[in-house]
Amino acid sequence: METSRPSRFSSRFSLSRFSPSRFSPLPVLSPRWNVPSPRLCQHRLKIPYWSVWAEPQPVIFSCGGPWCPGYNSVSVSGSGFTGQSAWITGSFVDSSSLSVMSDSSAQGWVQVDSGITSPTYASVYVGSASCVVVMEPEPVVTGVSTSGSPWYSGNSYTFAISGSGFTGQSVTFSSTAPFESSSVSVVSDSLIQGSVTVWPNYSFGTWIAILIGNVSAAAANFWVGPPPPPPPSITVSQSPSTLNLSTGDTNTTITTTVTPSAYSFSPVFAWGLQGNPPTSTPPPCAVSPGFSANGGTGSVNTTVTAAPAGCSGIFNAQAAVGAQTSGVFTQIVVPPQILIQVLYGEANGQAQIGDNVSEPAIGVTIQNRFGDSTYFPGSTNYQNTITPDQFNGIAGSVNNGPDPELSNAAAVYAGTANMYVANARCFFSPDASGWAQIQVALSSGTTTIPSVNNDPGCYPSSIRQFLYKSSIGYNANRNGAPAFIFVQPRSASAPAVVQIP
Amino acid sequence: MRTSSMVWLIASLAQLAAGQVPSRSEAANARELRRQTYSQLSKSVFAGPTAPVDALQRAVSLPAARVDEITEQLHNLLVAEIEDALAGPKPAGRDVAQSLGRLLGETSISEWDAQSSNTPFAEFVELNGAQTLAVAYGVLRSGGALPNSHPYFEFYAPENGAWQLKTQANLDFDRCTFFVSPIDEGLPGQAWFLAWGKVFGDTGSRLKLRLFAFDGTSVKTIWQRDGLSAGLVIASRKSVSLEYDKEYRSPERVHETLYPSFDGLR
Repeated sequence: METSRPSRFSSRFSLSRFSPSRFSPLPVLSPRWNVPSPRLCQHRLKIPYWSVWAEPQPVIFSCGGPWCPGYNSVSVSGSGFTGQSAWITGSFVDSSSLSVMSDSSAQGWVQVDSGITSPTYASVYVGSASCVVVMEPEPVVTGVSTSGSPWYSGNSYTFAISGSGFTGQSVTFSSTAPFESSSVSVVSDSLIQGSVTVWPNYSFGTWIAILIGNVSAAAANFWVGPPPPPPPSITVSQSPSTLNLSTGDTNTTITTTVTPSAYSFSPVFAWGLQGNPPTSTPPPCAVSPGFSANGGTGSVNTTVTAAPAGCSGIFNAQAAVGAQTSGVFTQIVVPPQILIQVLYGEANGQAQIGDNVSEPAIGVTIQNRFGDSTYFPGSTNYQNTITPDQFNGIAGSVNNGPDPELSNAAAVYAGTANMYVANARCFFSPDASGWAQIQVALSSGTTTIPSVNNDPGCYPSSIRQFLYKSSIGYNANRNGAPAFIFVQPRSASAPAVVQIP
Repeated sequence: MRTSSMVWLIASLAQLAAGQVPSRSEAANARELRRQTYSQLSKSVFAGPTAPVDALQRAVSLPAARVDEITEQLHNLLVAEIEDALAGPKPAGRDVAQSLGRLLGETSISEWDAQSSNTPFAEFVELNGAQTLAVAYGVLRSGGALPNSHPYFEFYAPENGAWQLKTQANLDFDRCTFFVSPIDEGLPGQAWFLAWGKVFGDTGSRLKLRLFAFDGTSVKTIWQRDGLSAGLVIASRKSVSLEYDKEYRSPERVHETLYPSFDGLR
């Protein structure tokens, strides 16, 4: 017989206790009933004899729980239940139903109010016996993380579930069949952690839920399955093999090509600094490259940048697509911006008239000052050598890498310019009259340095030597003189002017 | 320098400081010792084209503070040389310049290169009835490919019967070539001088000019120009002609002729 009561109302009495069918075969005399009141007794005289036997005292061993908001099944075990009424009461119990099923069992259900915000207690009665069950707020999952997803066969993973209301909740896997080993536990009210190792030969795909309490809403799901099929066999290549870059450039790219062309990919780049000449103390500041995260099919352009601004470096970059790497590198040369600027300011005009010798020649001349502690103490790198008082043509507004200045600066910086200027460490642009005097001195072989306008005065005049580099173009200003005359030291007895190719 | 010579020099200088006038032979000896001292000191701070490589490396690697210290000692000797040169009867500017040139030797800026300076320069000017000597010279330090020149432009006048350093111009021509030329003053009661130079090693051969006015007591800069690429100067007492690139490496040249006016050159 069932009793169904509104919540927050309970009664200790039930007609069931008078039902002959619910008598215990060996009734125990209950002190509560063994001496009926005279009035009752009068009334009970009409009741068959066996019905006046006192019912046994009920004892509850277990009544389950905890309960969560919503419907919860209730199973109560104990003894002496026969003939007893059973019910549930509590401040957050919306409705309930509990029936004595046998002398040792009562079963039913309870609906816990969804407004519960903290653990609260409900009471379960079977006759005069009672027990207490905790009602807890429903666990809520707000976040799930795992060391890898999906969970592939043969691999181990950890996971964490964040949320609230976890304390006191049971937490289980919906299935442990995919796992060689598994564990999960409530760490705190807001954290559940666990780990799994998937069987090496597990070849099915399935969702595994982490069940928190018995509430499906608080489950976290993970896909467990075999490793994905390997990508199709691909080949990766990249170009160009050499890339010149200014720290101000933002549109320089490396092209990665993958075959088959339908394969979708996003290349990643590994790089290593190869050098940052010249060797000096302190060393020149070095750049680090940056690569954009482009993706696509066929050929993908990745934008390469270098920072910090003004610094330099030579490094190799190699594209990788998954586990497949390109068979070749791209050497990226980032010359110091100050070198690009001085080549631009001193000789851009020459480049415009097709003179491709002037820029590398003056670059190598500047480079020759490094490490010359006798004649140029303090000149150890581009930054401390290319100073505004020594070089009129430092184009400070050039903050990127225009060509040909970028390629010429990169060649000078990387040591691949292959430009002969002997031991020249200074240069200047003679005017027409100065060039005439230089020509006279060259042809005569005199040891007296000619007095010419714009001579920068490097080295005492008695050991100063002008170098006429015949491959240098004529000055773009059309004064008829070579764009540059170079200066190096000599012995006092050597000619004041010599010619070099 | 031998120790005995140093002792003698110190004794002579002490004599001078005490107001005792040395004899002519003593003065000659003092001058000779000054030159020896200057020569020794200058070799520690400057190495010329004939110096051995190790001397050059020592000179170029001398700490800046030590360079300044030695420069100051050299300057004291140069001032003493000028005052000595002025002590004779009817001193001439040329004599002072020659005397300075002998003392400076290789450290004179003009010894680096004939194009690098017209100093030592010395010229008497008469202001308000009093004679004043304007002297320009420079000391070379370091060496290597680019000398660290340090020029001076000074004014000497008689005081208590002896010529003494009165004042000096505030110059910004370190590491530069250095030229000085007198120019007609734009204001009465003043003496004007034009100074110019270029930084050694400058690829642009940029010219800078300063016009100094001396009023008998102090000297100040009253006009200046800077950064004239491939600049050329022709200075006379009446005018200054300038020629330079309109912009660096521009084919267009600028020609200017400037004349003294009350506030400088126009």
